[in-house]
Amino acid sequence: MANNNIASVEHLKQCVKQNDLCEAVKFLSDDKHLNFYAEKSLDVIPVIFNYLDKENDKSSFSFINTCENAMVEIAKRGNAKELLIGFLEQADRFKEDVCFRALIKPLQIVLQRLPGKRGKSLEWTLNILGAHLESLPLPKDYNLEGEERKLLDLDLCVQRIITQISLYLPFFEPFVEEVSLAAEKLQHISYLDRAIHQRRIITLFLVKLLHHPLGYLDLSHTERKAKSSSRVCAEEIIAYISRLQGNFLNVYHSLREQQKSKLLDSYDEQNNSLREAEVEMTVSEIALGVFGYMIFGEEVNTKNIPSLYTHLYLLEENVNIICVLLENPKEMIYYKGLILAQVLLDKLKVAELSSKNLDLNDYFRMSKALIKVMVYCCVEEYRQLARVVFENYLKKLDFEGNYKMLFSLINSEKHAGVQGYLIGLFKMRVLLSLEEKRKSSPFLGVGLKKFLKVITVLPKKVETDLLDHSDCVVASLNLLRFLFLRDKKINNLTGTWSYLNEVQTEFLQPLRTALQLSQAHYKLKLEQIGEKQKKTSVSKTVYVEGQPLPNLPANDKDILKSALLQFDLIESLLVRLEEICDL
Amino acid sequence: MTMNEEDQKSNIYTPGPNAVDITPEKDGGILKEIIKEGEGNDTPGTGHTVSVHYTGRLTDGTVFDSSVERGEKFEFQLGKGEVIKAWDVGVATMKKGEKAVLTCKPEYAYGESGSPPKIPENATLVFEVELFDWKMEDLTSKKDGGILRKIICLGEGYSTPNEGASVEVHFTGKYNGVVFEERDLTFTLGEGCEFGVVEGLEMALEKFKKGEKSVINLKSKYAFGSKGKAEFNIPPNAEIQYEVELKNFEKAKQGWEMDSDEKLEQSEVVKTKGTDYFKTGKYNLAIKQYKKIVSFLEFEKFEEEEKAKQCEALLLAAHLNLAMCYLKVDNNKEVINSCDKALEKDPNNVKGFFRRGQARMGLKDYDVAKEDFEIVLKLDNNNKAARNQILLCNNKIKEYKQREKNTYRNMFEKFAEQDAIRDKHIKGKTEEKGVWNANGDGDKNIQDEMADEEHNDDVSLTETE
Repeated sequence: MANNNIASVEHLKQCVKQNDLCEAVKFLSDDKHLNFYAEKSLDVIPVIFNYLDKENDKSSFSFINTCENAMVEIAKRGNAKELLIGFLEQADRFKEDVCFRALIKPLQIVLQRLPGKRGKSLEWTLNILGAHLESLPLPKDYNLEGEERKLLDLDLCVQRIITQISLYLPFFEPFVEEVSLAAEKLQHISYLDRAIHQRRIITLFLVKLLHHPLGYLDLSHTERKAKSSSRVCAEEIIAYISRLQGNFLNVYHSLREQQKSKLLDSYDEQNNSLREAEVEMTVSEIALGVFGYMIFGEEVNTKNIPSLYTHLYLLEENVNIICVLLENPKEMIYYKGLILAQVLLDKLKVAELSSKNLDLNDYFRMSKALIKVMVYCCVEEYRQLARVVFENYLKKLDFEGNYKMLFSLINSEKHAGVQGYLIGLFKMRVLLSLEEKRKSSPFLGVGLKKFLKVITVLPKKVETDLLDHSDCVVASLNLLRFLFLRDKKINNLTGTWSYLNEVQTEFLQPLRTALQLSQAHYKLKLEQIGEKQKKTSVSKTVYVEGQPLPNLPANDKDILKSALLQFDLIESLLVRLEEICDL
Repeated sequence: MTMNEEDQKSNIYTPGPNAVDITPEKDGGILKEIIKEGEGNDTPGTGHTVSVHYTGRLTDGTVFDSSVERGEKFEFQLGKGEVIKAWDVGVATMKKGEKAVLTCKPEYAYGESGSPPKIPENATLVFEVELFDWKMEDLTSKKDGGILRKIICLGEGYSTPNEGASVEVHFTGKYNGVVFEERDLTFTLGEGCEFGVVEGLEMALEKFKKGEKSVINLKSKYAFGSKGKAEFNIPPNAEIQYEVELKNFEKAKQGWEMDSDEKLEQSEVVKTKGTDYFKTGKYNLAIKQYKKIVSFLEFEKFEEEEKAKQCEALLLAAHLNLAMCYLKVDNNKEVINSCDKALEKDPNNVKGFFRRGQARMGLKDYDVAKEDFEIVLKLDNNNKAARNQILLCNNKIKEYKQREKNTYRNMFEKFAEQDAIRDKHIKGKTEEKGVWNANGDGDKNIQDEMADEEHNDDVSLTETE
């Protein structure tokens, strides 16, 4: 009898090897043979998966189908413990989607047959299956705007991800159901601590999926529009979690604590070798961020967030992951950060955030991250959104906080355009202080002087490249002009008048010299180019590999001309300022 | 059904006659009516984690939220502004086991704008709350109850010191109610062991605000551990208590807060520190310092040539020193990692190759270790140490081969014996054992090679490896 079994395994091996699929199908669909195979599962599984590994997905669909069915049957009949190992051994073969697909169902069946083995076995299985999804290639950044984002679903990478993840998600169902809160209510759970452990594992692996691969897809949804497939998957994940965890904020906390304890452990050098064999039991910050985006930003399953928390606390809990999302270079990730920040900030009252909150460093970090998106992002929609969020953020800060924020930003942001923008925002707040007659406003008096000291500086004295720096210079001059016009010398509410001499010697005079230098320099350059062009009036075009190179000199000329215009602007502002101040 | 709902909704809730105003200002903003008396006189204090069940209704009876429905008790930290004001005030007045109805005016709840979509504008909220229990705040990341805090005096602001921050503290240590030490100390967080500050106390301080005064209970593993501390008369495995005040602190700047030049400056400072630690044999502290350099400079780009050079040099030194430290703490994998990174920066670095060789020796990869030492010799022909190491490698390789030979011989003998006894068909089973026995590495290799030799056509067996 035993010989018989081996013979038929050998036989099957031969059939598969010689591509005699009809014969193999006959074996694999025969009930009696399946019983043999189930007994010899450890021999049969590699034979079949060897075949599945070889990219036979398209060529012989019916055979694959038979294999899958046979695996399911074997999973039902064989020795469950052996089978689990047999299947998991096929883990490294996940290069092919077809292997992944063929393993999900059998593994689910086998694990269900081993109710006592929910701890490590489930952990390993989820780790191995999850690893396949993590290895899937991601779509590239397409710089999509608005409705265009829906097109992402058509990307081949995305379609593959969706297919695989839709196959994977049903795997969780029985294991979620087993330990769900509903089951606990009905007292169907006998060992609560074990159930809690299982909940933790499942939650962890579900949240992991939200980073890789789902985080890189579009998960947004507008009301009354069809949901994208990626959104449907993400919602399914959140729905699973909501069956396991009553309060989503606890999920947040426990996952974050696990990250921290991992950091601590990494100092624990001696245990390193022991730890390697273990499954990574933490989620990435991005995963946490996308989870936050889904529950707060997209408001999926809000019933799992108790209506007791203050809006301020919710922002505080999220500000760190907002930063993490915003600082990521992938557009789909920082987009989620923008939305999360927007939604949470919107809920705050005007001036609810006090300057004391800014002790939390992440609040500054968030501003810097927003500004970075504003300046360097390729997608106009996101740049605009970042600006809106940033300005809204300032609105939710109290007056002191506004000053603290703008002052520290002007000190740390070196981009002239950003500096100009910040000076503009500052000016609006000075105006507000004057209009509301706030005596102790930080935007007047000493505070104003401190700010002016930072902006009325030419970084390289008279040799400053004014073209590079013009945004900042123009904004500074504008602010000064505004101050001296709005605030009469007799009143001196802003205190700027007493600072006039300093401004004059430290800023205005060097600026005038710098301006003359720059103007002369650029004019000379312009003349030189003009002469050159006259000399070589025969138009020449340079070809590289048959492609004409753009005519550089003309381009240069435009730049020089616009530079000169910019200088004229600065000069006119300067003159006007000197007029006002009677210099 | 609909009639019922209608009925319920029109039934506008009004607080009963026993409702008491519990606001400090007596403005009627929070009314509390006890439904079931609690036990004892204790009420939870600031910072305690309390656990409750609740159902929240609007005044028209609509349930907007309920922990009972979710099937999980609600836990939060009292008095920290996590929850609406009415709760921070209200729950603090409750006793263990007490059940009460809190009627909260909008000023003590979600105010004018409400909390859409569940809570409308200007809504008065009615909560039925049952307080089950409270516990001291657990500051450990594993939530093992090893570091517990009870706040005596709340600190100010939001900021807490981070690792590397300079902190000014006053603390009193007690064991069994007896004071064993009391002192003022200023030190850098993360380097507390230098000053006899136990790990648990440092971890706790990272969660302190300026001016905070708290009692901290430490389990022994976060304090003096299984050794105890004879100097203080503290036996092994003792739980101790500290009363700590964080008088002041200055945060260490984190990478993103600095501009490139600052990072460069800080890296130099940190490097000196690391070297000091290394010289005094505090390798783990030294590792922390060198890691900082890597995190500061790894992705920095400098345009000025001089600075770029300085940056490269610092990174190279950091990787090499890390390798050295890891060698000392016997973490060979990290040594190799660090050396690889160092060699990326400087492909002809003698130290890099030498240290990697040492680590590979440690991992018993004598062949590759030898290659490293040979490169060292090629780069520096006078390197005696490398020459010695090569000799050592050769010996080890010989030794290993000899041992291998012995094993093989034994295996062949064993196999011959088995073959003699058993029928040819059973061979399949012994091979299967080889695959199974995935833990005994040497054993497995041999089995595989056996399989290779005897069944060259049998692909499936060897491929699973």
